[in-house]
Amino acid sequence: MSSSHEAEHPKHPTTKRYVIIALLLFIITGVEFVIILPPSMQGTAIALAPLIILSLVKFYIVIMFYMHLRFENPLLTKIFYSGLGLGLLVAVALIGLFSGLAGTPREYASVRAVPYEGHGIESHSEVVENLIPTPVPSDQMANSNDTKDIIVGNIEAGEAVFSGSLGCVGCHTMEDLPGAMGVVGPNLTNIGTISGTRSSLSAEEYIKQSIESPAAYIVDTYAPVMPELRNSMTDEEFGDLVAYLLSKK
Amino acid sequence: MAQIAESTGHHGAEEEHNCTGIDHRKLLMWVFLSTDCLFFGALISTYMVYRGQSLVGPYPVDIINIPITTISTFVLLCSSFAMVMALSNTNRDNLKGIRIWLAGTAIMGMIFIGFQIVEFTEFAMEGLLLSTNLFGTTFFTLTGFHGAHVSIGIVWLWVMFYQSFKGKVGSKTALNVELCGLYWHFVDIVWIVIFTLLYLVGGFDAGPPIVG
Repeated sequence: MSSSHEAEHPKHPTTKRYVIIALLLFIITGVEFVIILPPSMQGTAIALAPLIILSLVKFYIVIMFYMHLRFENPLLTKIFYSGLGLGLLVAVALIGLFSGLAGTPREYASVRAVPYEGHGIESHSEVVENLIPTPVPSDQMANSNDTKDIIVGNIEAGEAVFSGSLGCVGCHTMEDLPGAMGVVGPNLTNIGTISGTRSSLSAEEYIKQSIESPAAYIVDTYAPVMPELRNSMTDEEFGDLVAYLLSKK
Repeated sequence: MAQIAESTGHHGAEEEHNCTGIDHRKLLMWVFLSTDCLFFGALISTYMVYRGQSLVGPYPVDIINIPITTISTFVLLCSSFAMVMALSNTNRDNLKGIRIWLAGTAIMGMIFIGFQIVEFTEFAMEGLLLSTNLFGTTFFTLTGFHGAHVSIGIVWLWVMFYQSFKGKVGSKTALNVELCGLYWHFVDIVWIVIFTLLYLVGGFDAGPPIVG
């Protein structure tokens, strides 16, 4: 079997050729890495085409030389290509139908997706510091039950809570607050006035309810996606936040 | 059918007598690899279709580590080179070379799996699990199945390494090494696609911004 095997493949690559092929594969991988190195290229359509072409070249080289399909019986090529072609066809059809190469959120996700708080914490806190002279430390997560029903809060501190690590501004717009431009939830620019008209509750009670149990009242055309954040803040922060929102007449 | 029956009757002979002229095991391996294209094609398509559709973080840009994965990709490419060297030494009956390159291939495969274990652990600590979001589901299913393929290849390589001490690996049975090599290279080309699409292209997918 082996003697005929050698005779069948007179053009079988030599060791030197294997080394050259390996180097070529390394270089292509290096080039791919360099392509996406500048932030301006990351995740862009410009980078997409060369990346796909380069990986196809690598793919082809490995199959043809490392797997020596080039030197094999053509039947094996046909068998492999039919499976590969069918798989590609399915992939192209699916990715085309759902525009998977663009990777942009479709309607369902674009309405409901929430920001990831673990991302860019550093730059985020910088923004908070610029906005507020005395930011509230986000590690005050303690929550004691004996100081409930705080009515009076610090409006300035409340603004810090609103634009802080809870991520309110990711979903809600507050027109006089730079950076608060979210559209997932209702616009809160005049919430101090609107809150008294939404349900039978008073303005203050309505705001408290919206934070404590967001699902209790859902504003028309919005999705019930707001998380229950009451336990993510201290009683003091909660009071400050309510006072801040109430002040937005 | 008669031809197939006849060819099985000649099993163990030096030459294969069948209508294709191709060794049955090699044919089977290529048919398997062909179907495996469909398997990974489906998983890769699923990942691409659900790109950008996750509702909660972590999103790819929050945790995907491209430099580290580029290194593990290099390691896997090196292992493919080691594999062809193992086959080349097998054809030349160089037993020492066979052992070195087989072990080298297997060890580089293990390093690759090591990178993957570290990556998965880091993702889990960041809060990304199979059930966290569509990104986690499609990412772990695809890369997990790829890792499983690599792991099977590693076991196969070590078995061959063991057999080389029993005098069972050499030019007379070079097909054994060749089949293992075909499987190993296939796993490598699947990774080439995964690395490009999940890391270089999809690794910058972000969720909605926190501020503005």
